[in-house]
Amino acid sequence: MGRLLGDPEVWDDSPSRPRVLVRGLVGLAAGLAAGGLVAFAVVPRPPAPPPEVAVPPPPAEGPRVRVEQQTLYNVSLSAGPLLVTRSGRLEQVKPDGTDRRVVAQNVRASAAVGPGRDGTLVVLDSGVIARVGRDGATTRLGPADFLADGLAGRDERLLACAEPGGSRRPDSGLLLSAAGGRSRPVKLGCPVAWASGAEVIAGAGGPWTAVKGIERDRAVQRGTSVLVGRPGGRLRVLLGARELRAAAGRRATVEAVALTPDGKLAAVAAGSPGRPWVVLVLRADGGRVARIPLATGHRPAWVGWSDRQGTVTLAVAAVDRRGDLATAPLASRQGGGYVLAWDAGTRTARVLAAGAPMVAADGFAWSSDGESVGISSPGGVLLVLQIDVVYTTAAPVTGTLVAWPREAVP
Amino acid sequence: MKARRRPRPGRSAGPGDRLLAWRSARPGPSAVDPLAERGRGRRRLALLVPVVTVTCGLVAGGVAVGRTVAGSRPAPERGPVVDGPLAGRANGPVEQLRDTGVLFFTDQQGRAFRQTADGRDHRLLGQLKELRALTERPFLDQVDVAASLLAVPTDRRRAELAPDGNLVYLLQPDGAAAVGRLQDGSVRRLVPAGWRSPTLPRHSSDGAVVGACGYRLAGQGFAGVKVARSWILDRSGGELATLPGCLYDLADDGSSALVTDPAQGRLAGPVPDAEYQGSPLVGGSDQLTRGLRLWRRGGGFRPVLSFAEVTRAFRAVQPEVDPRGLVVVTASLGPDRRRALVRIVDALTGERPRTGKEAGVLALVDLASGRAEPIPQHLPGLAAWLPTGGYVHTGGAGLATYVARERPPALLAATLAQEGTAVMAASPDGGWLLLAGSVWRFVRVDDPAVQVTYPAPGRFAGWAAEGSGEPQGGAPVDRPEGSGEPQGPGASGP
Repeated sequence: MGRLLGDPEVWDDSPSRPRVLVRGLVGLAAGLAAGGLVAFAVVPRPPAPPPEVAVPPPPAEGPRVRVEQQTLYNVSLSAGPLLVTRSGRLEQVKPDGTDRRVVAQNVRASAAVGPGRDGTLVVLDSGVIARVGRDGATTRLGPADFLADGLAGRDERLLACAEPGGSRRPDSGLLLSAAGGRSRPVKLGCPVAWASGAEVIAGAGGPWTAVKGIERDRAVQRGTSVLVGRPGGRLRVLLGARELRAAAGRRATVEAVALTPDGKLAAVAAGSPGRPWVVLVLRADGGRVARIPLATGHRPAWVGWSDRQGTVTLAVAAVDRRGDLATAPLASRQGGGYVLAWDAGTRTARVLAAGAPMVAADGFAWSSDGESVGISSPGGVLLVLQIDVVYTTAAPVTGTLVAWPREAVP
Repeated sequence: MKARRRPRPGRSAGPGDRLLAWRSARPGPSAVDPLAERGRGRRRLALLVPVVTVTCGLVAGGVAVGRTVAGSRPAPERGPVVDGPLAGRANGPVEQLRDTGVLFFTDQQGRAFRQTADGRDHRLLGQLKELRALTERPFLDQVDVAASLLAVPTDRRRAELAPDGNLVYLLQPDGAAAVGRLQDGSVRRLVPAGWRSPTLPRHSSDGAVVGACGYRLAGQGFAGVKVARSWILDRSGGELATLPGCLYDLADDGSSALVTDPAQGRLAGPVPDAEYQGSPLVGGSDQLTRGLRLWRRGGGFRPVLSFAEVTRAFRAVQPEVDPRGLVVVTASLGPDRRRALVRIVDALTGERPRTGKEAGVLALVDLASGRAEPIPQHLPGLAAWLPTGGYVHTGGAGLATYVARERPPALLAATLAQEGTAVMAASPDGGWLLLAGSVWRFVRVDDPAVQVTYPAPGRFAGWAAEGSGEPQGGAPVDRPEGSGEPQGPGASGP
């Protein structure tokens, strides 16, 4: 074995000095790395969230009839406020949605007369005829046991037809005064009408027939003739039962009556469920002016005359009553319909509204200037302005249209 | 006690020596070599510190990474992103239009294109000079006023492309119904020379049967219709029938067609001279359509609409109309071939219907019973069937109304006036309706709140199922030009 050079005494054979800090740092790094790797591999991940699908926000609702501001402005310019019932209140509001005011609380009016010159408004509320005071308070008119099914009037005078029941006959109508006082019986049944500018009243007369298929689960009493006369005076037959059946069918009864403002023309809607319905236009002497047949399966829901500077126009709202729609209340009737305007001067007609806006339509009225028709439905109020061209607009008004008077309720 | 061994000279300290050193670090008797004792604590520390730091590192690293991993949420999956040619130009969920079919349209240069409803796969199909000529021709020129009492197009499309993307149904510049082929640019007329057509040709869905209505006027200007004829041809151009009066629609399978019923024309008598909707005096005619019958390819006819029903239906909108002026101008068969949408107009309406009386009515005709049910509407406009059996119609208020069986009418759109809607077409599956004007508005029929709009890429010419528009070289209907003069009533067919 060889020998190394040098002095073995100075040859350093001691072990190298351990570098503690380096070893510690290396150990720490190795530990961190190993721990991180183990944790990355072992620790469970949270579940992935559902995928994000880029879908644009859905529109809040389907298409609606547009609000045509110019048309709305034109309608609001000359017409008075709309009287609507909404949420159990009677309100008046301008066609453009402004100046909304509660006229009376807890009133569900189905018909209204007025306001008169003194501001008196009379409404038919669930069979009760009530006068609405300036403070919104209501006062019952007529006998306590009288339940009305129809109401017409002019100024402060009223004509109410009775809802048959018990001992009450269908033709036990009443003439009343909005100021109160005693009522006078009149042998007229529902429907009734009062010419807005003349002392002429009209209503249904006998013989009376029980008609099924108009209201659910019960037959309703309907007249088969139309009587006309002066308030308090003798009534005469405008359209007899035989003539009615000849013009409208064998089982025809009277569904609606309307008088022109001067009382010279009357419109009578007649027919029977399941058969074609017609609207007959008659002169005061009973002569027939026109016969307006309604579309198949459609029944009149409203007839009304307008007077626009001497031009009288009849509006007929016909609603689909086929099948299950026959007995459905207007406000829940899921069917179409149309409003036809018939000009008595030119004896021509045109359709003012039709289709989707007539679904569940429950209120109809002419404006006092005779230029516009309002139609209410759960979708809102539709206004149709007919001058030379027919303009249609939705109105920012909700509720059931009761009337469209000239003046606002004070 | 043994003395501690020192390493021999010439031998370095090896592992055995370290082991010895470790052993000697144990507490024990004091006889320790001072040389070995020096640095002993440090060596111990050098062993201890790595152990401790590795342990700490494991813990710290594990905790830190574990928390990070456990707390992290993976990125959500992305849904389909709307891009492509309509990006930034379409409003609404355009991705829902995917797989709804292929749209055909033309431009002012006479080119025909196809693209999917969601804007993809835009492709040029071909060009025809006749298509360019159509854009220069007014939709309804004065000569057509008399013819508009014979037939009126169901919409304002200028041409219609077949699903193969090759055949084009159009009107030539001289007013003759024709079929063109984009692949080779050929065009064949469907009516003899000198005859004009009031509407585009009607055809079966596969193009195997095509029909055209033709007319000749009694003179120049506003002369009335002197004679009206219809030709029904097969794919090879062979005449299946030549019929008196006008053909209004052909069933999708080519098995039947709605045509004029001459018997009702004789019953009603001729339409007198009239000022039609503000026009100068238009000559009367005994060739106009007063009732309809169904031509059946298998043989025979069946009356489906009488003049009495025409009059009865019209009186729902015009109670005192003079029946002498009532004519049928449009009729389209429903998909079940049991009903038809029929448009009736009053030829004696002197005033313009926008300001005057109602001059037209749309009616739903039950072909089995012959009953016509009027669909009252102010200024009835477009009407179209959906493959699902419902129908859509428009009116003067600018509303498009959808009517399905046992359902109330539904409003699909109220923007027709603003967008100049001229064409209404259903998707092949009936799920969507296209209102085509300056804007193409797609409305989901079962949920009209879902609508997609984008600027019109051209003039609408058809909507076919996905995969359509691939040229397949189908032969156009080939009718020899001027193939004979019109024949007398009932000369062909039973």
